Amino acid sequence: MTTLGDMPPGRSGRVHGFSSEVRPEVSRRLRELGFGRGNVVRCLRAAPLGGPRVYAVSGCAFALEAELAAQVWVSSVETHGDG
Amino acid sequence: MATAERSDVLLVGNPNSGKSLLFSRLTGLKQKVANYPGVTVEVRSGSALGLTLLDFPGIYSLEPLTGDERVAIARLENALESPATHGIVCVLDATRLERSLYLLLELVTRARAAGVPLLAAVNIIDEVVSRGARVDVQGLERAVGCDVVAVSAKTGEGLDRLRAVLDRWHGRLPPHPPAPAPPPSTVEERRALAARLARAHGPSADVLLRSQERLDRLFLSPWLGIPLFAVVMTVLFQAIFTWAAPAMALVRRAVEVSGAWTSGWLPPGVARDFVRDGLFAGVGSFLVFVPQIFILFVVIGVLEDSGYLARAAIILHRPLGWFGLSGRSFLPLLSGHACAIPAMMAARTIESPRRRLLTVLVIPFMSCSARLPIYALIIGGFVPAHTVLWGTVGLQGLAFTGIYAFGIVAALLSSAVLSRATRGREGALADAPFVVELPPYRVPGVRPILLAASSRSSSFVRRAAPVIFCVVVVVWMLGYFPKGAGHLAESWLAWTGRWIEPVFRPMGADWTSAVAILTSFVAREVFVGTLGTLHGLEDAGQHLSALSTRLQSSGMGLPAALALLVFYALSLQCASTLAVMRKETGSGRIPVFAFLGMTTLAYTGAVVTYQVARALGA
Repeated sequence: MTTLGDMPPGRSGRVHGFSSEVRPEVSRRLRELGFGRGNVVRCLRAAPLGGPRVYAVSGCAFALEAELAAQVWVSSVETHGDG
Repeated sequence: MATAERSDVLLVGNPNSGKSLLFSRLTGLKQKVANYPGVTVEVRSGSALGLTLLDFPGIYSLEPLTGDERVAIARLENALESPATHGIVCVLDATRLERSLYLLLELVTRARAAGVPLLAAVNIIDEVVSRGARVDVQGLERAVGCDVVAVSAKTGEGLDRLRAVLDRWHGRLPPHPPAPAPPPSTVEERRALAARLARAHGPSADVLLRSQERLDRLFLSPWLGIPLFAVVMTVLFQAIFTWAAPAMALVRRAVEVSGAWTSGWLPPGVARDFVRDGLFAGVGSFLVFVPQIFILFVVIGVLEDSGYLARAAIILHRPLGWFGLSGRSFLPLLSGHACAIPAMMAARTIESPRRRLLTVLVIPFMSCSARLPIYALIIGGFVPAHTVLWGTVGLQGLAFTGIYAFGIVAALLSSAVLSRATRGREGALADAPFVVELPPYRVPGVRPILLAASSRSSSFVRRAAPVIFCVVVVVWMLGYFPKGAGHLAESWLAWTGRWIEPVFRPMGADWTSAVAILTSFVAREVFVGTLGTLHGLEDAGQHLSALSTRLQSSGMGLPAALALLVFYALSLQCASTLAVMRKETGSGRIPVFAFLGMTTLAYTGAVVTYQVARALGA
């Protein structure tokens, strides 16, 4: 088990949950956006200058700042191809 | 049921769902523009088919996370309860159906509870169709239990069907279709249903994401991302100065011609002197800069609508973080180049209260369009109109970039100092985190951008013009009496100006500039109007010529001109900014602190600039 923050661009992971440091409103919004338990999230890229990473989830792309991405638990998922 | 009092239709949708464009399409020019130019932070209203359409700010769900969402959702909840509410139009993004359906499913439950009809407008259908995909409207209608219409606000497709549904509401409230199943009640259930519906009735999402990925590979590339951002910003500032020049010359000519024509009709005397030297020279010299303000709004509109703005926010999140700000501070800071007031309101979208306060405090350092006339006047008068790099880059444009950069640097350093001086960092987890959606790249529509820019600039002019007019009248009277035209040096104004001159002497300002600075404490845009009136009086009887040429011949040297630039770049001279800052921060002490701090900084900076420039022999 790793976190979303440790997932390099190109890799996918299945969300297992959030660390207890994530406030309930924030966790709710993340779940509303598709970062809920069981969903597969793909890391698309890292912004230049060490900025936030961009994640794809159910057809949308979101940038999450590193401190937050480090609080989302994921397990690695094998991806087929680039899609 | 009577329709007279039930006339409000609420327009609700996700951010980037094309909701504002749909609103403009439906209401046309019959809309009340948001109070201030900038992004939608206010509820706009407009009429269509005898109904009042209310355009709510974009939201992801009915549970707020940030301050701006709290405001928007509280207003929406109120409207849902209101007896005036006639129906809800939920705008969905056909290219991101799953995310849009989540909000629709939440709204379905609320609308049923409130007994209000709901229509789902599946927008941006043209992009889905052009990729050979489709949205199963009937299937969605059956599954969700509300009217569904596929539309494109861009092409106008489907708008007739949407209007027909609104029209049907107009006669009587239609009965609610039977609920297909008990509505989902938790985030997970709703999300799962949204995913199922999107898969069953919508286009494949991956195709659309892949096309935006191709461009992100370029714009967010580790190597090219930063240079491309620099290019975008350079083009922005070149557009504002170099490309606006022909339009400005045209307005200047129009002001001259109409001024000469009007004063030709008036009998000689006080009235004619006032119209020619006060009205046309004063207010006219401000109007000259309206094309520039318009172009600024066009550029900001292109950035917003093309989808690049979100990329810029992501690129800048880390660097802005070094100064205690957020990537979301980028849009308020950028809007601050148009006007500080909508910029402070746009700062509501900043997730963290601390980063938001810092952003609001430093927004006034951004070179707003009220400073534009001053910069343009001084740069136009003292920087040669040469071009470099094979005629593509003007020196004046470069000077403009320089003074804008100066304001940005001043803002960032102030933010860093304030951030360090106040309590230590609280971290992203104690605060609201930075989560930004990357919308698809789109070619912005010419018509909507021009419409938005013209309504934004006209609302700016409407707000600024009365103040300028009043100040111009007072300045003209003080400068005209007691001896009349051509005797400015013996006027009341000259007396006042000479009395306050010693304060401004160390920064190289003569008494005319001193008076202009003093009057511009109400609002900066008054500076040019005041100088125009002052020099109009001095040259009374001669025909109007460019104010900048007169400034040069008035004996102002480069050091004094530079000092004026620095003074205006750093000072907070805008009564409305202070009022809005007080409202937005909920504190009376914050605007006082900002005003005193920035005025001290501006004066010190101007004095240092003048003295150093003179010592260097500039």
